[in-house]
Amino acid sequence: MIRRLSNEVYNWLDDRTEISVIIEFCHRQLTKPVPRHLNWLFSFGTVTLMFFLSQAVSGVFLMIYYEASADTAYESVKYIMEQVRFGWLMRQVHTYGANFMIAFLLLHSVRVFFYGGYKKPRELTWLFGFGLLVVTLAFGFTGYLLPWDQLSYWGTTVGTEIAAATPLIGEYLLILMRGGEIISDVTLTRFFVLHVVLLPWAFIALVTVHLVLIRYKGISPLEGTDVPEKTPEELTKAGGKPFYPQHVMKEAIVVLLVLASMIFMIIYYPLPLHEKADPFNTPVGVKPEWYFLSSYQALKYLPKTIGIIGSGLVVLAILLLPFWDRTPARTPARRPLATSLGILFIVLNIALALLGKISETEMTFMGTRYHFDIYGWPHAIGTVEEPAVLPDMGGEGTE
Amino acid sequence: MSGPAAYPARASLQARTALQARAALFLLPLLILSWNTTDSAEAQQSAATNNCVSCHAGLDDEDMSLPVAEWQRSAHLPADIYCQDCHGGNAATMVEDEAHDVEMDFVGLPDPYVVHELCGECHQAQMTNYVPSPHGLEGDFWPNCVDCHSNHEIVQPQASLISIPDNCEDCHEQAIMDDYIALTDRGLEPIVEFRQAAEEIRSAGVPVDLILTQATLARDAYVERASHVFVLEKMVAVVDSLEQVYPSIRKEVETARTEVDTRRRFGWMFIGLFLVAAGVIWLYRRSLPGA
Repeated sequence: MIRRLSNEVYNWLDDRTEISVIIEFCHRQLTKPVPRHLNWLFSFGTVTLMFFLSQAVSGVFLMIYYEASADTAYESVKYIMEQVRFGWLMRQVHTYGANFMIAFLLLHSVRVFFYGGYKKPRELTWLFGFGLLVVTLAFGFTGYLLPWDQLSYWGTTVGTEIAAATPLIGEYLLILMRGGEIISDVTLTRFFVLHVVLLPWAFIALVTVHLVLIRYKGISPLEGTDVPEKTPEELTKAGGKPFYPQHVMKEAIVVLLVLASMIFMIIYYPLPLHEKADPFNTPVGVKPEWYFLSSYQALKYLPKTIGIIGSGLVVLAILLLPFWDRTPARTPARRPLATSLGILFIVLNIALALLGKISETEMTFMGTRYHFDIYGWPHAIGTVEEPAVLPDMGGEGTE
Repeated sequence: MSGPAAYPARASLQARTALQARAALFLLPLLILSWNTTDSAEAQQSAATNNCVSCHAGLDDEDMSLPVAEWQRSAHLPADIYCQDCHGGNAATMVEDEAHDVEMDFVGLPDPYVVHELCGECHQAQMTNYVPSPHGLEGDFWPNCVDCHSNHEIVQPQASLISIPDNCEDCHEQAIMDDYIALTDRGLEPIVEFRQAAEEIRSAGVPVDLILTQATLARDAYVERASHVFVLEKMVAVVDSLEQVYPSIRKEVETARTEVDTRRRFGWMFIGLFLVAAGVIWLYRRSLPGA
């Protein structure tokens, strides 16, 4: 009965829209075989996409209550976190989701690099993927200001100052970004529009092309670029499995495990809202998010101009990777130089990020207290006794 | 005292560098051509320097240099209380005569009879209670503030200050001092407990403004009415009244803790759901032909 009814509905729709053509196309794409070597690491791209969808859903929820005005932005976020039913959950999902999304996008990029997935004929897939990385980081940069707390305000103040250093158009660029001389209501509105309108559409456009290219050219094989790629029939003969259900199921498992990890982080290590932005009081201990920490630390060791140009060249080299790395081999073992450079780059970034993390902090080792300076180098500052058994008793300057 | 708190200029530099790194990624094409940049050293140079500290820290006479080291360990450094705030003088010059110019209110060693007025500029409630107390006018301002709190290495107050060996014992019996210590603990320990609980709960994402406000009100009431009065009966009355309000604050803490537990239970429910779903899919996938 149900089957007959659904068939009738389907036929009715098909007569009017030729939906069967679309369904046939989707079915063909979904059942297209994927190479045998696809392992769990090949799920990271899907996890990233899932987080984008999660960000969209939680973002829409937050937008219902968020007010993009300097007077009310902070209070509206506080209201979401403290008064709105499940508001705390949505805000945490959005904040943690941003971090998870960037983490998996970086992991996905690393996986593509080591499997040589950027090589011919998938250069465009890499370029659009790089665009997605830039847009995702821009999401982070613009979203950072929206809670209008101390760190976001001052962070954006000094961040936008870099624009003023741009030759010829620096001043105009600064004004364009801030909407005036200082960070104000206008800046917040601009960042909000970028964050909720322009960047989401840019992401959707880029990810659509990225996915179409992946489905069109198929998943990158392990063989070198000098070996003709297998047709779907050859892939099936070689042990390849249909994308659906085999690989989709694998991705679903990874997505669920990652979501479970995120919920664990949310309930045990929720991300706080800091003090409200105060233009007359620069806060202490401002550090960038973890994904900018290595660049931030690297700029401390180098003169600024050299640091910026150096980082720029590195990013440019990554963007144009498919055009200068033209060796045919794809597997890491057959391209030792690229693999070594990749590992070195990752280790260097992790080391810089760790130095950035410990810089400007104090720690005790073997009974000696150390202060880590801005470069992350330790300086012994003696032993420090545990302070105050009683609460501070006031006086100007306390509380 | 945390590291960054002690180095506001560095923190400013840190904030600047952090966002430069972030912005660099987005402004890359233009930044590659950039030449008009600000050296990060400028930020450090702009940091205000205190010449009392710079000069005295290097003096051979330990009586003159030790106070710097003691002050650096004190609660006054993070509160931005510098040498000139108590000793007067001109902290902007390295010339000794100018630094110690009486025209600039340089007093050197403050008169013991006005020490409470100096401290009272910030710690007003304590001074108000101290002056009419047995240690104030009645005791000829002895002991004064620095006798108990020290002069340079001033730390957050602790109950142990009430019984300093070879100091209070000259006049007071240990049993009396033990009563004071017990009373102080009764009055203030719950406030410490509420604040610690609030910090713990806040880190779990549950609002604690009400708890902190009530704890601060209780602390203010203690400071204004019991701190430095040095009369046991007066202190007992204050502590008794505070103990009337502590149960309601404790109830707020319990309510907030319950909210944390509820959220965690709710979270674990979802985690369990996701894990079960992942397990079911994994089993289904294993059952597919050719798996």
